[in-house]
Amino acid sequence: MINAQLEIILIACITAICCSIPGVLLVLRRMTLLGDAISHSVLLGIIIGFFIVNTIDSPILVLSAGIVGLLTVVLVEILAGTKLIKIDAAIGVIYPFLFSVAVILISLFSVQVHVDTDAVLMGELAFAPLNRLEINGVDYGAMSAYQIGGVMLLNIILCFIFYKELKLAIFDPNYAATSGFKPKTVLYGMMLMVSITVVVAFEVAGSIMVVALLVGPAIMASYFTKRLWAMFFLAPIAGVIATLLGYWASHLLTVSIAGSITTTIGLLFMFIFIFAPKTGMIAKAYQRHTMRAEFSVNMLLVHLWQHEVIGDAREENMKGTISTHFNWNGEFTELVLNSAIVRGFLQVSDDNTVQLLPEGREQACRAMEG
Amino acid sequence: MFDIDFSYTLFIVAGGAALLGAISGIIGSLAMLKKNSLLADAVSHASLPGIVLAFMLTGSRTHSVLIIGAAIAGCFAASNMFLLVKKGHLKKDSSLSLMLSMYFGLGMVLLSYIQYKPNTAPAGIETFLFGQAATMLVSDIQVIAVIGGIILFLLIVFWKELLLVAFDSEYAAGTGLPVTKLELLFLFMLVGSVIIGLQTVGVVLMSALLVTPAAAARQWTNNIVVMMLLASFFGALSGVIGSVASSFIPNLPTGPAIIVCISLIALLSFFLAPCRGIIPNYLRRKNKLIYADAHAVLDTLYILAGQDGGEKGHERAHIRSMFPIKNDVDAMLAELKEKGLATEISPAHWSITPLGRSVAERSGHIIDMSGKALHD
Repeated sequence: MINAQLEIILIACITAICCSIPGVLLVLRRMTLLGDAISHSVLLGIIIGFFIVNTIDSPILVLSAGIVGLLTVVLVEILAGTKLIKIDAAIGVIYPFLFSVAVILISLFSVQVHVDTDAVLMGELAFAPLNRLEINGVDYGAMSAYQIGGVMLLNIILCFIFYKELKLAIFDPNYAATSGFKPKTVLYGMMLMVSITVVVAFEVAGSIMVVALLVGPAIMASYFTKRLWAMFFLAPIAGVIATLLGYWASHLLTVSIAGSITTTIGLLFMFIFIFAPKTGMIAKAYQRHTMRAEFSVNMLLVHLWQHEVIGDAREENMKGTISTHFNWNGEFTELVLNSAIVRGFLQVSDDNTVQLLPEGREQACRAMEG
Repeated sequence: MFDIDFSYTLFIVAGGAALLGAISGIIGSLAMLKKNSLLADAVSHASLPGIVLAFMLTGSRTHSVLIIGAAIAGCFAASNMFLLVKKGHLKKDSSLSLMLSMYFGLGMVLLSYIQYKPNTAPAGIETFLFGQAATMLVSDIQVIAVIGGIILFLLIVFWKELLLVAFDSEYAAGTGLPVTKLELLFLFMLVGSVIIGLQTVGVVLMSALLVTPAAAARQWTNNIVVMMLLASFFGALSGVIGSVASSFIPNLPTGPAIIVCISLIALLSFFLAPCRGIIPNYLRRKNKLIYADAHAVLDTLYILAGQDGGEKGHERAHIRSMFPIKNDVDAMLAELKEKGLATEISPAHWSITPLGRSVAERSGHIIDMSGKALHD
């Protein structure tokens, strides 16, 4: 038997992979808030399932929760389809309603049900290995690992088989419809997948961590690639990294595992948001800076060349006149001039006149041609 | 004695809930216009770490202390989201979901941290998750009233600017308004209206109190002021009904009761509202179809009358044969008769009346035999 801690880590990692795959679809389709809505409203399904079978660990509960999850999507689509309110408002109306009904049912019948409303939000990863899969008295490991693992495999297989359909339905539903695919059906299938994923993950992770696992890894992956298949690979990796870091932090600080993993996902995202190559905040600021410098150098070269051609270079091509003509401050003028001198485009003589070199003329010519 | 005390508590709770509903109805309407309905969801979830942190730092469980923490965390989260959407290549929904879960996760971490520590039982903080209106005091109502008053004051002072940014932010930017600052101001107003509801309806459901009354009110009017007043009326009404219901039914939590109540109001509005509602719309469409069909029959009668004068009338079978795909020509004829546009001259023979003739001519559908429209 594996020890309990390792088992918790394993379950958390499987959950991360399981959620991050449909999460990619949600993020790209801009429907992450529907994932949020489902993760809250499945509670109603669990309660209804409980009323039917009167036990808390039965596959019927997963089924009824899945149905309510899908019902949430259908209701939101119908309400948004009437054009009475926008889709975000429709989400904001539907899921709190279903969630309230669930909370009321729990409170009114709390004597029989031992569903803790706090645990619904926060999950209890620490208790996940308690429910064992035993066949003929042999312990095969935690039940939830098999459940979530099964859904994970299902998600991977579905995304693999329907890759083309999903891609079309996500990026260009109209084109998909005209070429004979049914984007609406694909979308509903996708939401069914999200529903099932949320339901099984919700039991161990709680609704907030499920939302984080759906959205976070996919967003992080989107900072490194624009390809769908690459996102399908990167998102689970990001999810697992965040899960491991988060578990480690929770162990170190003895705090809630789900909370710690969720926070870690957020922090990891912040890190990527700032430091990612090419798409991060710093990289973008640097790109803007270099582009501005490059543009300014080109502008300066064309300006100097122009005056050479007209023949008033002696008066116009002075350091002082350049900064007044371009409305640059002295510092920036120095910067641009230096950058041009280093690249061998021009030279500044002792009397502060600026002279183009042949290379500079060539560069100005190139800049004019665009 | 018990009786008086009971009703006094109820009065306080219902009054607080009504005040809360009224304020959130107004701010929610504005949020809805900006298509920012779910921002409230993220902000309310994000306030949890602020509440817990305020408790950890001060050790106080006083409502006003905790909601100051909530306000600070909410403002942080809101500006954070604002920054992410402006600077990153993130879509609004992703950034909302991410911030929502990240801040709430942080709150969970902090909450579990104080739970595991001895001697600092955080009782009372968990009630912020789902709200607990029953513990509301007069001082809490005062807090709601003061913050609500500030929000309304800001709304009135910046009314024109906020409205312009909400309806057409590009035009507002074009006229030189500081759009970013106004958007941030609105965000902070939204945070304010979220935090005053946390004690009553809780972190999870507070957003519904902002979104749903506005969604319901939107169906009844196209005027923003009317919409705001109506939303705040709906909000107040469900606040009262929810809190009264929960005081009479044991174990019924107030927050969810209020939300169910406002959701039902919204549902009724979606179906019944006169100009946009589903049922009136359906009836109008149906009436329009009947109207269009009846006029097609009238036009036919007119043309037939133009061919032979129409003194003897026209056989019903003949008229019916001109509408091969419609089988309710009889009903249409009856409808026309009722309006005095056609008469049944002899059994099964119909003719157009002078009134019907003028109506048909005015409709402009009729093409006379030379192919020219009679009326254009």
